[in-house]
Order: sequence, then structure tokens, then C-alpha cells
Amino acid sequence: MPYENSMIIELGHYALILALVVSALQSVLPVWGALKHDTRLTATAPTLAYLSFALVLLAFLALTHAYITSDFSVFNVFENSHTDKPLIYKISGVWGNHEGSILLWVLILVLFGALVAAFGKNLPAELKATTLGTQGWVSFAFLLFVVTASNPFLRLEQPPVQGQDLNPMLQDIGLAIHPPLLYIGYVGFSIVFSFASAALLLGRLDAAWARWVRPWVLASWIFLTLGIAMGSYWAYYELGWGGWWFWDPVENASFMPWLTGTALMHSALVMEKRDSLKVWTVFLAIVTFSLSLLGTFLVRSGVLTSVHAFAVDPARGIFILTILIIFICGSLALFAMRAPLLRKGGIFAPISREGALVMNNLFLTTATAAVFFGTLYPLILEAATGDKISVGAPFFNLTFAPIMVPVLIMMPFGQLLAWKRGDLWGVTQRLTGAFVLTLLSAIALGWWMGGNHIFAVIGFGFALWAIFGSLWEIWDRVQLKKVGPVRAWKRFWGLPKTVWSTALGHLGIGLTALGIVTTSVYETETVLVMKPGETRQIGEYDVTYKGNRDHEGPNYVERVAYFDLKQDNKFLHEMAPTKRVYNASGRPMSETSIVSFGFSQVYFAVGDETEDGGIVTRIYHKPLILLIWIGCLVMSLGGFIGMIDRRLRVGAPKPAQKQRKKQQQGAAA
Amino acid sequence: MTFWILIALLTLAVALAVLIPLQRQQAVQEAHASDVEVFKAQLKEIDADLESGALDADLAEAARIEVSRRLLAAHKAAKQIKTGGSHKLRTRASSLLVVLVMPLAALALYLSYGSPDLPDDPYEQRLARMNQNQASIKEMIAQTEAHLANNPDDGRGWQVLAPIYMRSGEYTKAAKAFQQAIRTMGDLPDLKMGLAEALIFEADGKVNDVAFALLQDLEKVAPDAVKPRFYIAVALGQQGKRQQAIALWQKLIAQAEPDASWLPIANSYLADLQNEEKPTEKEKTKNVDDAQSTAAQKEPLLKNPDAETVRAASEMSATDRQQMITQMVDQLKTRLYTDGGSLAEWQRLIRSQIILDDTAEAQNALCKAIAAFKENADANKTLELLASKMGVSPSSDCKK
Repeated sequence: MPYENSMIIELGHYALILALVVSALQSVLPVWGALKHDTRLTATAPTLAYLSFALVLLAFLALTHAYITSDFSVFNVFENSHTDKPLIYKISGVWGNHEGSILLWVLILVLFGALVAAFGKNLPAELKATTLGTQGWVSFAFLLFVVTASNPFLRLEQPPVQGQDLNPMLQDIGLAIHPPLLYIGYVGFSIVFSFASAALLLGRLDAAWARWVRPWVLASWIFLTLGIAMGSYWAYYELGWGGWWFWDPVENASFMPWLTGTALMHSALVMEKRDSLKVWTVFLAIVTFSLSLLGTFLVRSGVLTSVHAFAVDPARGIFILTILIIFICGSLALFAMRAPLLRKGGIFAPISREGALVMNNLFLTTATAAVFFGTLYPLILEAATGDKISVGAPFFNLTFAPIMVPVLIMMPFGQLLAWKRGDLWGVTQRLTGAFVLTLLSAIALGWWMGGNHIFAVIGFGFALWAIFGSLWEIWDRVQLKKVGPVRAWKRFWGLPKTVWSTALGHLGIGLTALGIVTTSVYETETVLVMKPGETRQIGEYDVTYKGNRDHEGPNYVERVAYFDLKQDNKFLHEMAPTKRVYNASGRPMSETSIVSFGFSQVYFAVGDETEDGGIVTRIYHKPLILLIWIGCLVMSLGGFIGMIDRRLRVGAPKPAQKQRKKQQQGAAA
Repeated sequence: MTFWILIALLTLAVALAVLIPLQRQQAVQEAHASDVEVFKAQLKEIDADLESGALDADLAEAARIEVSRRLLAAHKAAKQIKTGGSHKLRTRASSLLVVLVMPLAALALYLSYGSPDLPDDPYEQRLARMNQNQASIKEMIAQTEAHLANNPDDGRGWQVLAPIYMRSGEYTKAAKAFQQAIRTMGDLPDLKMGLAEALIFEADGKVNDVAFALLQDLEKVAPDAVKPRFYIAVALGQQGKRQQAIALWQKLIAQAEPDASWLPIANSYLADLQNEEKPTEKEKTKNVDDAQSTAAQKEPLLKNPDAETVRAASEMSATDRQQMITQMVDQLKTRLYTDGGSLAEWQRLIRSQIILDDTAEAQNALCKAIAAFKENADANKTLELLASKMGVSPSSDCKK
């Protein structure tokens, strides 16, 4: 037999434990070296970072192997897998549970360490060593958690015949991809935190630091954006309620680091260009990662389900909470000690690009605070008084949305203002075109949507202003009228990447805002019982229920309901929402059926059958909803262009010897 | 052994990889040289921006002055800080950490958290092993049968064979074997108990008169034995002597060890009897649908085992566990066959029997279920689906 006596699982477990010990070394040797200016010790940093990554990867692959082969001698596999499950969900089952997802978390943590080791060639050796050392502390803390309190490699001596299967809700392609994306974003900010701590430890924080840290901020931000968007789309099509954002604590947990991360991305720009906002930028770096940790605590400790459920079995939650407190308090203490030494930077006028960026930061952090209190207040209240309240969409709509309006309004101005001293009146004049365009299109769009809905038109105005305003910078820089089409074309392609990056980033925000406004105002929801053969008119569509058929999937049975979607007697699409029951767990799930027309969607979900043969059907019309996620994609693209900007990869100082060699070669030639 | 060698190699490789930079002379890099590079690059960017028209001349000049100032500061800082080389004592201490402390710590941690004596056990391998066991059991049965055909008076042979028949679900044969054993070896309590059990299982859980008499005999001989009284309680329930049954169950439960494996089953029997009592007092006409829905709401007898049960089960021996599972399935079967149950319960029974590799029984149960849900089109659809999955044709394979 091929597997007889193979020890892949135990090798993986050992690799995990060795990684814990290696990360302990990683948290000591490089930092010690950097503080003593010992080059041999600092030189171990990249090696240790690579090793940590390799070992955790080994452990992760071993666990994945156990999942693929349905090895129920691993308790974690037994709890979360089943032999009938399709291969992809066997693999995604690895992170579809507490232990495995924390292992993935750690894997990404050490991956970022390895990436800094590999791509950080332009960093000063001591900064690099200290950054990797700090990353080592985080890895050590979480590996300790994995090994002692959340170990996925615990075994069963007498494996049961069959596993308990993965939660059917998680057996979906969206949730197979969503956690890794989100974690890359979440955990990516750990490296930014490490950069900040290293700078504080070494007492060196300057414009160059901001430039080194920027690609890492951007990379994490891109993945966090994509992860959040993916999660939102998943919730939209899988949960079957037609909603795309619920202000649920789990969502907020990922949204808060996104907000501060966005602020950080902007303040790092100011720091790089003007050598100011240093203290603030470092503070944001610490806050962003702290919020990531807080999110991990909220999601992973079970405190969300119920504060009391958490109190019953608090071991894991307390562990993460301890990590959280140590890192947040430790870094803030370091910050408090070192920050006064840093306070020195360029002075700047309020009306300038940096002034606008400060405003951006103010609004984004205020928004974060609103989300923070909305998320934590119910928990604190429940812990203190036992009252269970829920802070829902109304609170966030009332607090968060008004804070975002000025952000949308100011974005185009910020793009056009010059550094140091800006000319607000001049910028306003330059934006006149965009303003007129916005006004006309907002009215046109409001009229076309058939509404005399004044709030919708105002909402359209804000969103379209962000869209046209963000693109206006490109128009403004190309100077088509002044230089003629040929040179304008050249200028268009010659625009610095940062311009594109900013324009696309802001454009994405505008598109998302447009999608949100349109969907919130004009969406329709119809719930009705339909009998086979029946045709009903839903808005502009005619819907015919044709009947249902049973179908057997690999690990579930489902009843597929078939509907014809027609408009003006023209057949558009056959909708086939289903209701599934998973064999292993017996849990029911409803799968939606969605069809897109342009950026709008029609969304079908079915519920229970009634006694007289009808079926409960929910039909949603969601105008322009796709823009919400397309906007996120555009934002990420903007971030990506910013990241690949060659300017961020300033060449490493070449060792003296090599340079001399080159000169000699040049002389010989 | 290979495992320990692999672990040693892995640890050695890691230690060596860390030792290399520690032991090698490192080129001294000028601190702040990187900063200088960054500021030089910034100066170039300003020139480029000026050229492309992104910056006005005076703004560019101001920016240039600012960056130059930073460049100078970086130069100055570079001169002040001297990077030391290395320190012998530090290098030695670090090497010691890597070579000695790291492997020892890893080993100690692994020994306390790992299970080095447990090889992988993937599903495929387990399946193969189970089939192998089954094959060898069949062979053993055939051999013993051949031997007993020639020596029908070998009581020990019958005694060995009977429980094997029981486990493979051939209750009629098991009953005969117990009878043969009793014939040759006398009225041993174990054998009588076995015979009674075989008769009960043969009758799909119904305790017939012969079995009941046997159980009563056994109870007289050993009034404290659990098993006979357990089945007597079942029988009393079936005979409609509810009060007596309830009293006996309560007594059994009170005397039971707290972790006895049959305790949940006993509790569920007791609960069933007590529940039955209430509606009959209030209303005698029971809607069939109602009965089904209450049956579904009741704690199912054989649910997917929770983590705790499995942990407990993993500590039992393999045969004990098998017995526990078989027992649970049989109890469910007994209840469904006699009292009926919800669709979900029938499905659970059939699935369990498939898992136990008892195809004949599963087919049997499926037929019974189809008969029970004749009126219910929805349930029938589901069952037919299940049937087609099992390769059973309800019309031809289900005989009355």
C-alpha cells in the first residue's frame, strides 16, 4: 500500500514546532545584532525569515495532504471534512475552520517576512534586520498560539469511519478564495507594523523610510480591498438575502484596518515627499495592525457569537487577547518613548496637497472611530450589563455615510492641489468642466432612472463628482486643447504612474459609491408564492415558474426550481435557484440564481414549498449593483499601478568593490 | 526510524542554514547609504516631473532644495555612525543557541505535543484494511462451518461462531448456532443471553415469547445483570405494559455506571415511553403528520456523533467501538421497524447501515421506508433518489 506507515502528518507537525523555535531565534538574533551593529547577527535575519516560511509551508502542505486523503486520524480533518466532498472543498476545508485558518494566518505572516527578505535588497541592513526581527515576534506569538492552544495536528488513535463535513455555507468557491485574499491584506499590515516598530527601535524615521514601506502598504491594501469585495459578493449571492453589506462585526473587523490602511497609504505619501507627518504615519501603522489583530480576536475568539459563550471556554480567546494587548501596548509604549524624538518636519500650509491629505486622514480616522464604536459598543455593553443590543445599518448609515460625503467632495481637489502651497481658486477653476459634467449627468441619470427622487440625484452627484473629478486630472495634464492630439497622446502615455494610480483609485471609490447609491434607492424586492405554470409581472419583467426537478450533487441533493425571465414577451434568461440539503450534516442551503444585464442584476432565491405545490420565491432587481465590486477592482488596479512604479524600487547601494569592477570594465572597453 | 532520521536531517539543515551567515565574514555596509540612494532618486524624479510639465519651475526648485537638505543630512549621519564588525562572544552565544538550544527545544516541544507513533491513516488505506478484515472473517466463517459440519458436537466451535454470525447480521444462523452450543454445552447464561439476543435481532427488535422466557430465566439466575433486564424493559414497552417498563428503565438508569454506553439508549427509550403517555391522556386521536413531526423533533437516536462521543469512542478498543455503533444502529432499527419514524430517521438508518457495509440490511430498511411513506410523494421522491444511488430498484427488489 502506498501510504503504509508514511509519517507526513507528524513531519508537518514537527516542522510547525521547529518553525516556532526558529521564529524565537528570528525575534532575538537580528534585533540584537542591529542594536549592537553586529553584521553577522543582522545577516541571519533573511535566512531565518526564509526558514520560518519554508517550515510553516511544510506544515500547511502536510495538513492539506491530510485533508485531500481524508485522513480522519487528524482530529481537525475529521471535524471538518468528508470523503464525498469535491476536491476543491477538501482543500478549502483546511482554512474553513478555526485551527486551519489560524495556520493560514501564520503562513501569510511568515510569507511576508520572506518577501521582505527577498525584495528588501534596497533596505539598510539594520532596518531590514530589525523589521524581520519584529515580524519574528509576531510570528512567535501566533505560532505559540497554534502549537499550544489551537493545534491542527492533534491526532485520533482510532479514526472514525467518516468525517463531520465542512459547514455547507462554506462549500462555495467564493469562500474558498475569500479568506486567503483577506488574510494577505490583514496580515500584510503586520510587515508595515514591523517596519514602524523597527524605525522606532532604531530611532530612525525619515522620508526614505516612507518610501521603503510604501510598496508593502500598497500590497496589503490591494489584497484587503479585494478580500473585502470578494467577501461582500459572497455574502450577496450565497446568503440569499440580496444584501451586499450588513455592517456585521466580522465585516467591520476587516473594514476598519482598510480605512486606517487607506489613511496610512496617503499619509506615507506626505512623509515621503515632505518629511513630515512622521509621528502620525507611524501611529497609523501601529493602529492599522492593531485593528487587524482586533479583527482576528473578534472573529476567532467566539466573542461575537456571545460574550457569555466566550466566557465559558475562554482559553483561546484569552490567548489572542493577550497577544493583542502585548503588541498594542508594547508598540504604543515604544511609540510614546520614541515619538518625541521624531517631532521635526516640514511646516505646511493648509491649502496644499499635504493639507488635503491631512483632511483625508482626519475623515478616514473619524470614520474608523464610528465603525469601531458601532462594533464594540454592543460587546462592551453585553459584557458589562448583560443586555444584548444590536447596532445595525441605521447607526452606520447615519454616522459613516455623512463622513464619507466630504471625502468624495474633496478627492478631486486633492488630486490637483500642488505640494507645499496650493491655489484653491485655481484648482476650482480647473475643475469647472468636471463640475458641469457631473451636474448634467446626475440629472440625466436621475431622470433616466425614472425617479423624481431628489436624494438619489444628490447621491448621484457626489458619486459622479468623484468619478469625473478623478479622471479630470488626466484630462487636465494631457492639455489636449493646448498641445494638439499627437503631443497629447504622447503626454497621455507619458503620465507618471502615480497620476494613474491616484486617478484609478479615486475612480474606483466613485464607481462603488455610484453602485451603492443606485442600489439603495432603486432596488426592488418581491416575495411571493408561485405555482407551477404561473406567470407574474415583477417590475419590468415577466416571471414564469415552470416547475422543479431533483438533482443529486456530489455530497448533497437539491431541488432546482426553474423560472423563465421575460421582458416584453422576449425571453431573457432561465433562472434556476435551488434548495439543497447536504447529506452528511443534513443542513439545508439555498443557492441563488443571478443574471446580469449590464451592471444591473436580477436575483432569484427560493424558500420552502407550500402545501398546495407553490414555492416561496424572492426576486430582487438590483440596478447598477455590479459597480460596487467593479469599483473595488478599479481601486485595486490603481493600487497595483502604484506598486509597480519603478520609483519605489530605488536601487540598492552597490558595494564599493562591484562599482570599481564596473569602472574597470568601462575603462577597458 | 526513517521518521526520526528525517526529523534529524530537517533540524540539521535548518541549523546549518543559520550558521552560515553567522560564521561568514560580512561585508560592512555603510549605514545611511540606502537613504542617500533614495534622495538621489528623488532629485532625478523632480527633474523628470519638470520636463513632463507636472511641476512648475519654482515649485521644482523648492522641492529640489528640500530634498538636497535631506541628502546632506543623510551624508552627515552616515559619517557619524560607524558600523562595527562582529563580536566573538556574541557569535559564539548565537551559534550555541542555533546548534544546541534550537534542536533541543524543538524536540522537547514535539515530544509533548506530537504523536510520533501514529503514522498517516488516509481513507483509502482504511477502506482497504476494512475490506481485508471482512474477507478474512468470511474465510474464517467458512472454515469453521466446514469443521462443524463434520463435528456437530463441538460446542466451543458453535460458541465461537455464533457471535461472528451476530456481527455480520446473520441472526437466524446465529440463533441456530447458540442453540447448538446450548445443546452440547448446557444452559450457560452467556449462551442463553446470546440466543435471546439473536432471536430479538432476527425478529427486527421484537422480543418474542421464546426470547422473553429466556430473559426471565436469566434474570432469576442473576437479578443484577444489566443485559437481560435491558431487553425485558424493551419487551415490556412492546407489550404495552408502559408503567412496568418505565419503572424498570428508571431502576436500570439509577443503577447504571454514569458512563455506561447503553445509558443514552435507555434514556431515549424512557423518554419515548413518557412522551407517549401524555398525549394519550389528553387526546386519543393522533394525527399521523403530528406524530411524524414530533418524532423528528425528538432527540434523534443516532445523530452524527459529536466530538466528545468520538473522543470517548477513540479511547475504546476497536471491537467495543464497533459494538457500540452496531448497537446504536440496531436500536434505531428496532424502533423504526416497530414504531415507525420520520423520513430523516429512516435515511439516517439506511446511511448508517451502508457505512457498516451491511448492504442487505440497508436494502431491507429502504424497502420498509418506501412502504411506510407510500402516501407521501415528497418522501418517496427522496427515497427513490437514495435507492438509485444504492443501485436498488424498489419495484423488483422489494418483495413483500
